[in-house]
Amino acid sequence: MPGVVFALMGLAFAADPAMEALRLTPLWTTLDNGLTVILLEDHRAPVMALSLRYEVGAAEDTLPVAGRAVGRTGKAHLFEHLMFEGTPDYPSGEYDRRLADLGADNNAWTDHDATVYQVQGPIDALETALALEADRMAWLGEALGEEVVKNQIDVVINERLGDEMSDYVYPYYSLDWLLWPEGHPYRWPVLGTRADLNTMPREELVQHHQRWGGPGNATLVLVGDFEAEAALAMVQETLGRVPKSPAPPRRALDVLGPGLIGPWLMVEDLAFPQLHLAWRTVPRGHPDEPALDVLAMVMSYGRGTRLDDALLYRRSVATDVSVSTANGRLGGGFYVFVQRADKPLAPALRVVEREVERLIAEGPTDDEVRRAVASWRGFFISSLEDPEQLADALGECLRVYGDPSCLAMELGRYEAVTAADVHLVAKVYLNEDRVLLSVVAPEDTRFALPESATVSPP
Amino acid sequence: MRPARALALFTLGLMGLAGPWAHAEEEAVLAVERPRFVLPTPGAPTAPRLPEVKTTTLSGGATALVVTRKEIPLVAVSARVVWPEGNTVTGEAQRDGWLVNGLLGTGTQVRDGEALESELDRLGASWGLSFTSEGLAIELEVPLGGEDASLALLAEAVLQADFSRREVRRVSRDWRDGYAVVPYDIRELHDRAVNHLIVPEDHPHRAWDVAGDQRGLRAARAEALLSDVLRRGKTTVSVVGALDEAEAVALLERHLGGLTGQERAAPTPVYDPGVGTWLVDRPGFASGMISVSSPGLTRYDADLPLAQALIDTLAATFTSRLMTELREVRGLTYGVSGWIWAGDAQGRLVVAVDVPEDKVAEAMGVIEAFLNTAFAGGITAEELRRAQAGAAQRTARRLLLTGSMAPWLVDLERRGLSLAQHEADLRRLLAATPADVDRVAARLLAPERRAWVVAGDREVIEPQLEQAGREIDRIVGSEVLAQER
Repeated sequence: MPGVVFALMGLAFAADPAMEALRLTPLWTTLDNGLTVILLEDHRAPVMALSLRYEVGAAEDTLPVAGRAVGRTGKAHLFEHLMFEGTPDYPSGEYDRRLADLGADNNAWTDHDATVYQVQGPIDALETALALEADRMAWLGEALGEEVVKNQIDVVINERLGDEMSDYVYPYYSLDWLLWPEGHPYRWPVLGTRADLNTMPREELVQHHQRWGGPGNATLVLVGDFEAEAALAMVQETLGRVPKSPAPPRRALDVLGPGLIGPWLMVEDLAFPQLHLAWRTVPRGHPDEPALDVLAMVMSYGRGTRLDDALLYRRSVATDVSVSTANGRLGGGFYVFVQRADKPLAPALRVVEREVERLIAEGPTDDEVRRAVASWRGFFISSLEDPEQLADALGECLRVYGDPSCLAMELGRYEAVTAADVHLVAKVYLNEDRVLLSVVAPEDTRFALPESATVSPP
Repeated sequence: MRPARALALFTLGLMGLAGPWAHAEEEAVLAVERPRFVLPTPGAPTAPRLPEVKTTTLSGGATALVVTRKEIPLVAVSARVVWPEGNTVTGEAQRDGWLVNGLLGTGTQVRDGEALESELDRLGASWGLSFTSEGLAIELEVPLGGEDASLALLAEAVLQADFSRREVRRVSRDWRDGYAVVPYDIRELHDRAVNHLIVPEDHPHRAWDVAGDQRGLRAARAEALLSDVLRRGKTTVSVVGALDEAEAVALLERHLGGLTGQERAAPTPVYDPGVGTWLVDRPGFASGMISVSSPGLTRYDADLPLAQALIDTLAATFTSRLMTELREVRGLTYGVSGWIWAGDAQGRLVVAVDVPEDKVAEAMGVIEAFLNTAFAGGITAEELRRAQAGAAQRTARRLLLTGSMAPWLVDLERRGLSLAQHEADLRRLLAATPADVDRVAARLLAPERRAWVVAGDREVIEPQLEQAGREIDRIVGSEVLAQER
């Protein structure tokens, strides 16, 4: 269903220039082979960004069988690595080299919900990028030797080692393990467990590509200095020639028992004790999502926000504080993090609880909400500048709202948030079903929350 | 049939039972007719179009650069005020500079830091205030319409700064906590060791502070330093975004036009960089962090773009020699880093990598062999072409983003460089031959000038290095290093 092509060039600002700038109407269509295509002209510079999103993530690594997760974790992410390991026509390394020859960069990421491949570079690289994506979509798997797979398993284990060495990443392995119930895929780290990675057979990875890696399960987004119809013809000549494939059914939200409330203790070699609280909230696109994001900023976003003032600026209870949200296809989380310098965590917990209770009892002020919403407005406008970021955003729009032109609507959702909305989500979601986790060094276990049971990250 | 069968295979695969079936499935897939894809022949890389930069002088003497582009309703402002002595100070004066950095934005004569931050947030602004040896930096990016009020607030934060004792105590506490983290942070340990190996004790770049330095900080000294820099230091500002030249200049005049200082930065003293191999012992670390540094080029050296091509080829890109060897061939690491630091008096070329602790000697051997090969020459035309295309695209990307272009313009200008000169450098690189890069490799990669630092668990790493015949010039414990100036 082609839409009206919108060009960023020459935009005349109306009364609300931000909202006008976000009102994009890209060309949007589905090819005969099932590939969804979104094209947005952006003539500011002779560059382009490509985002090819496959609707498969770490959530598909496991399946619930009798309430337990069965399957090898880390598969989707490991496969993302293997996508760079060559095909019969373009052997290992050629994908990177051919793009680099043109000055184009590429990258990829995997989360629980999706695997996304990105290319950005001069507009002259577009045809090459499309042909290389088509080639690996059609041919990957046939040049994947055991040695290549083994090597990339080592690379991923090294990537995981980096997470394990990070005081600010590894605790979330435990926290998600506790927050999500048995059988829920978000329990498991996207990178997988060492045990699963070390036993991953090549055949399973090839099957992963065959099942999930076809055009019917993918969305291509192009943003750049092209004429949309000409770019579409280029897409037809490349990715459009890949044999048709269906979109396989994705995992549904089929497991939702309680999390493991705790208190829990993770012992790690880190400098300062950490306190983590986490609540389960809502999936991406849920009507409460903007109010929860605003709530997080009301709680921690610099001076004058609730927890930052209570823990950092008015009283020196903590050395670091943050509040964040994460919303995926199968659920969302609301996270509070507090770090203390060589002191017990219980007093910090009391401060957090007091501020949460105050928010639940009284709600935020209008002023606090306006401040947070204005910051969101800034993020939205800034995201328009980067074609790569914009391409990802358009793809996400289509997945979440069924419409790639959602950015103005999405900002509207945030601008419509009121203090009453934030008050309500605080009351509904910041309930007693929260996970409590202390993370302390072996010599600092005395600082942990009392009566904590030990947890080890998966 | 295929989807149903694929689903069955998938489920069995999850259970580890799919082995023989999976091979049959692959053969079936091979039988499907699939298209082949031929890539176009790449053309020669070209330099990107440069934007028109309008240069003017504000009433107080500051240089102002303006780039107008109205496609996105955003405005970015970047400002620098030089600290004339910043490159030469050590000790207490240096510490005063760090204190200014910690206190900027915490309060003014008109409002406290809380009011300042919340006002800026209400305008949707992203902003930053910092103070380094180079001087004061102001950064702002804000949706169109918020630029006047935002810049007024940031100018107030700087020109009417009021640093309280309470905030000094907070900075002092943050520093103290920061020192405690050092022995737990492999990157911090590693960077300290590199600094101590390379930079002589009395040099201003030997900037590492230690526990105890946070005592005796004084708000009055920080205020005096800031005010002195604002009075004397040369100011350069830029505006990039949806304002035309007259609007942009008027905006700058209103808020920063009164800055009158003209003093440029004193040059950084030159030193003879240390060489050798250090091992930082941190028991319990499961990975080893390795870096090797060679003396590099200053930011004014004509060979700098060629040095960038050299590091791109060696280590700084996905297609680089070391990324290919260490990651793709040997699986030793998640990634290799390579970069060039170019200062006003000295520079450095660095390759760094994290590997599992039992692979440190192997990785060092590979890096050394590759540096030696590159030192002997032999960059290929294909590698150079890739580096040329990458450099052209990096420039294009920098010019695309308002928030990265504004500080870039101002940094070029205050160093006596310019966008036009950057373009000339880029064109020289695009016209370079492999022999040109080989010449720079011979300048930079001499084996006897390298400084190696490894951070990790000595018990695991030292025997490897001994077995590989590597001499270690110093082994230093993490707790000792954290307290060493």
